[in-house]
Amino acid sequence: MKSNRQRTRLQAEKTETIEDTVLSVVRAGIDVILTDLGFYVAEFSFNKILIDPEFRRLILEEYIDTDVANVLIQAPDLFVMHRKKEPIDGVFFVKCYATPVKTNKRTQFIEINSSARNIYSKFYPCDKIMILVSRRSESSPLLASWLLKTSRFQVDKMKTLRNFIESELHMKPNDELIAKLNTELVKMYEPD
Amino acid sequence: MPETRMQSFLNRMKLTTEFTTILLTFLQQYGFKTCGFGYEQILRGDQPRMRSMRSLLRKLRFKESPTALMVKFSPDIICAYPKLKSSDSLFFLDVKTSITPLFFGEQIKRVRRNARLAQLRREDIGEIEREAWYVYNTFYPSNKTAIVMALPYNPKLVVADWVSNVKCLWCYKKKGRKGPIPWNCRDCPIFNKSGTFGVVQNFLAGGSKTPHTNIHLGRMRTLHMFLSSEFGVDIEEDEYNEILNSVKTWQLSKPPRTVNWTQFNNAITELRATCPWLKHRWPEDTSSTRLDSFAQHPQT
Repeated sequence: MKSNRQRTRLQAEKTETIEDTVLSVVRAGIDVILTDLGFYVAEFSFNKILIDPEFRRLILEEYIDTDVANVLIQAPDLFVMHRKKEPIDGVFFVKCYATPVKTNKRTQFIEINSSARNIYSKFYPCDKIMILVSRRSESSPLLASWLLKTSRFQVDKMKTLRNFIESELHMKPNDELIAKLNTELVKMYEPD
Repeated sequence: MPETRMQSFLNRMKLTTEFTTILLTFLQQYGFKTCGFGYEQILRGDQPRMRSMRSLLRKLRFKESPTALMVKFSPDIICAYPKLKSSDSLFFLDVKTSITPLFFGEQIKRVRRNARLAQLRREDIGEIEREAWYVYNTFYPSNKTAIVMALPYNPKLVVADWVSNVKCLWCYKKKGRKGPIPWNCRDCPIFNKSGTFGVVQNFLAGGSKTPHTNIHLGRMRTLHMFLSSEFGVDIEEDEYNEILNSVKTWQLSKPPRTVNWTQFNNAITELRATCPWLKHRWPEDTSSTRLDSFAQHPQT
């Protein structure tokens, strides 16, 4: 059984999996969709905010149990700012999750791991972290929600990206761009 | 140094950059590993979107957003001291410099009243950006976020401590009829964990009109004490004194419109009791006779 420490380190160091490829597609896709709506999008993950690979390695090897390390390791994927919207609504983080690809079982819940959960609630503006979850689904392969205080998301109760943007950001997204991203994700989740 | 040279934001920034370089070289020499952080590092690059984001973060209205503040005021540096072999030796570090003490007696009295410290001395009142104080206390582990501050008007010259050990004395809320009004600690967004301080300009401050928080420098440790007690670093006195001597040469800044030369030099006379390296100054016609005479007979 792996300790939290080992899990976090493995998670940060792991070699690229198919889910990582899905995540890259989701990140690139949401970047395009939000940029089209007038947002500026910057990568914000551990590897991006800490420029020095030696220092990242030092953190992962020696300090992984500390709050300081985890504020950095658990950094959301993207930092987003709108040039015109009220800052309170137009600035937020985005964290992307991919449900397992190589399984036929439909995912019911997404669990945010306890280490990430603790860090987000202690140190991040939790209500300003947009969660994006990709899953196997023909009709809605990408779902969205604010992180809020929940650590367990019932996937079916989350909004589609389009609905989320309309209801939470009060903007009308480009349907074509969303369709393109959805098509890409459906393909990635197709059984071999 | 001309009266206004340090008044400009760019020059103050240059002073901080220079001191940061000196400090980091010093720390690295003792085995500390450092890595740049801060919003200019996070949003680095020349791409138009990065430039636009950095520019937006500097706009006043973005102080309404906790998320924007978290990024804008992220500490400058991440530091590790692997020699200690303890997970406690990873920390955030923010480096600050100040060459502007509190000049107005009225404001010193307000700070004393608010902090209930009747004996508080002018040189023990430091000033940092209010939003930075909010961010260190809200979005980063405050017991592992260190402030290092260099100031020629405090006898310690370079103070350092964890944010969680630093005492807030007074925090600008708004302009009142009889002077500035501070935040009541019970309403402070840091303790309430809700919202931000909001967008407000500080009419007391020059330049950027940034609202500030006054902190108790007297209760902060010297950099020497901080490094030796927290990390067991055995510091070479000569090397440390070199840093102190360079801070001693910094001239105090005189805010051009709000403080007149008499107020400026009166403050220097008072500060010289504990900081004898500080020098009186007059605008262009500085003469040694005038300075000597002022030093002996401060004016009112």
